[in-house]
Amino acid sequence: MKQEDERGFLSDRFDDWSGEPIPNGWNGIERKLRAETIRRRLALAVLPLILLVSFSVSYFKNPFEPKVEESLIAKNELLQQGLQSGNAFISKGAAADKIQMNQKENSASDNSKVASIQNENQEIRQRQNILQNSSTAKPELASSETDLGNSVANQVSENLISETQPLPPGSIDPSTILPSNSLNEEIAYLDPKQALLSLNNFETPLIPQLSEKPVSAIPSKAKPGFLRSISVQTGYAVSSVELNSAMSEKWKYSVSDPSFTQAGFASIGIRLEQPIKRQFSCFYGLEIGTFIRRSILTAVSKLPESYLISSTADGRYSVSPQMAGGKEVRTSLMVFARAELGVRSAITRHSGVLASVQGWGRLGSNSTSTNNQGDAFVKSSTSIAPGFKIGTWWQSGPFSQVEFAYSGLPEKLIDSTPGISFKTGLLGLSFRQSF
Amino acid sequence: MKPEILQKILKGCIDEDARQQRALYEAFAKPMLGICLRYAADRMEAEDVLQLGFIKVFKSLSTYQGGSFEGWMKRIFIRESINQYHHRRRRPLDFVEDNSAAILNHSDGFIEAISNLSTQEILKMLARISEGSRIVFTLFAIEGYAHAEIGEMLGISVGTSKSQYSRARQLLKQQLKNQLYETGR
Repeated sequence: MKQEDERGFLSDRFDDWSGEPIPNGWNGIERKLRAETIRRRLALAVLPLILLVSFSVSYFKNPFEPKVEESLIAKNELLQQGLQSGNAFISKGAAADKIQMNQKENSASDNSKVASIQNENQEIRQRQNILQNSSTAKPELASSETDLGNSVANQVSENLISETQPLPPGSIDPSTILPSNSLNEEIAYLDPKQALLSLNNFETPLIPQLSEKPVSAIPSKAKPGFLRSISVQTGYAVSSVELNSAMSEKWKYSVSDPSFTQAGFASIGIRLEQPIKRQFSCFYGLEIGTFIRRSILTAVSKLPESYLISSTADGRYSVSPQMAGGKEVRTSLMVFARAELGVRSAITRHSGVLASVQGWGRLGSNSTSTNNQGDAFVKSSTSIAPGFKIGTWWQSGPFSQVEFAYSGLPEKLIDSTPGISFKTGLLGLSFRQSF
Repeated sequence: MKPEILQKILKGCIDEDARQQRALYEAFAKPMLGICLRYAADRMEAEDVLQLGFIKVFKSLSTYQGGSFEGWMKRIFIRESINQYHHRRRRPLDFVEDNSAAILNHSDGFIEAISNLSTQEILKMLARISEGSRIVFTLFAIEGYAHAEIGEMLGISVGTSKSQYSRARQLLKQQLKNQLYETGR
């Protein structure tokens, strides 16, 4: 007797054999099913909520909150640039800051300290006057380097002479009379994009640029500094076969040529980006796209379809079983949404790296087969899965970028073939335009 | 169970109707527990596998495309039992390649001897042999899977599956001999 003859010899004995489940066995299953349903629904509800909150926060949050000293230094540099180039884009506030800086630097002796303090007092009064009159009067703009110099010099010298009294050295604590008005409020941005672009340009300080706008037009809060962009992405998927073959009741099938597995994707997306430091920014993005995979399976029947009888040279007959089989092309399509939260860092002036964590959601899927010899596709029961992305970027233009990134594809979102599984990564090239 | 009643229950289960899910559980819990008990180390593990198996059945019910529903469920529970074993041990089944066992004499009255035992006695004897051999024996002799299928399910070669079956057979035969000896004495 061969071993194969013993196959299933006890199956009849166990056909009616059963166990007695514990009385409250169903309760445990029901509890787990309910928890899973709640978790799934919660995830579906929370994901859009997180996105909404993220976008809202990035929209309303003031991105630039520089310290006073940093602002003073930066404004001083801009002032010097303005004077050198002869541009008349410098407001009185900025001119006053120039004085403030110079006087701080030159406060070596007690007398100069007194003068510095008195100048600051004077400046505060001047700024208050400007702000009070700003609704009716336009600020005076220096039309040239000479005018600016004269104007500043006259103000300082006249006020010093007329309004100050000498004080004993060290009698005043400078910290009590430092300007308290926010310098941010005196700065108008030409465009938030200008500031964000400095992420790609180390030589330009990450500061807002001064404009010639009148003081009355200066906003009380800085404009939001996020950068909006849209992107178009496409690429191919690198699939490796993890489980290569499987059995159905009648067929044994396998991926005949793993290298022939073809997969690709395309997506469009939007992104909000916000600078953290000079070289870093964080971003939130949302993409919608499609993924398609085509694989070829070879199916062979487990039992012979027919027998071929042929005669041999010595007059005998040989019987050879003929197995049915053929190739089968299976195609899986998925429409997905992908939300991401990541950071972008500059390495050179025009390029850098980026990384993000992603939440994938399956919006829809469809699977087809040319002759369906193997088991049917198993519809994925998972609709949300985490992912990641790493990549590089290049600044291809003032407001355009190219990104090349690798992201892991959560396989459990895609309909699968029992016994066959893939591990897939997406290599994508995207073009991004800021607006 | 009548096919129309089963269809109604299945439709309710796909729609996540808790009453129909319970009806399905009550209809199939006993035979499925019987399957789980063949593979599990103890009754508690079998109960756990029963729960996990039913959750998997409810989740993948939409993929059921006709044929014997009980057979479809049975396959899920067998796979779940094997997965549970792997998960519990956190390592694959420990199979030893031993092709010598595959060429043992199979005309030795083993089938007749074991067929005379009650189902409970067979299960008791199976519980005394190593888990790898027991699972192969159960899949081959009780469930009726071919060695190629067992190899696919357990991730082992056909030869290993055959040798493990022969090994299980040998151990069971030894137990039968011991039993006869004790009874005769």
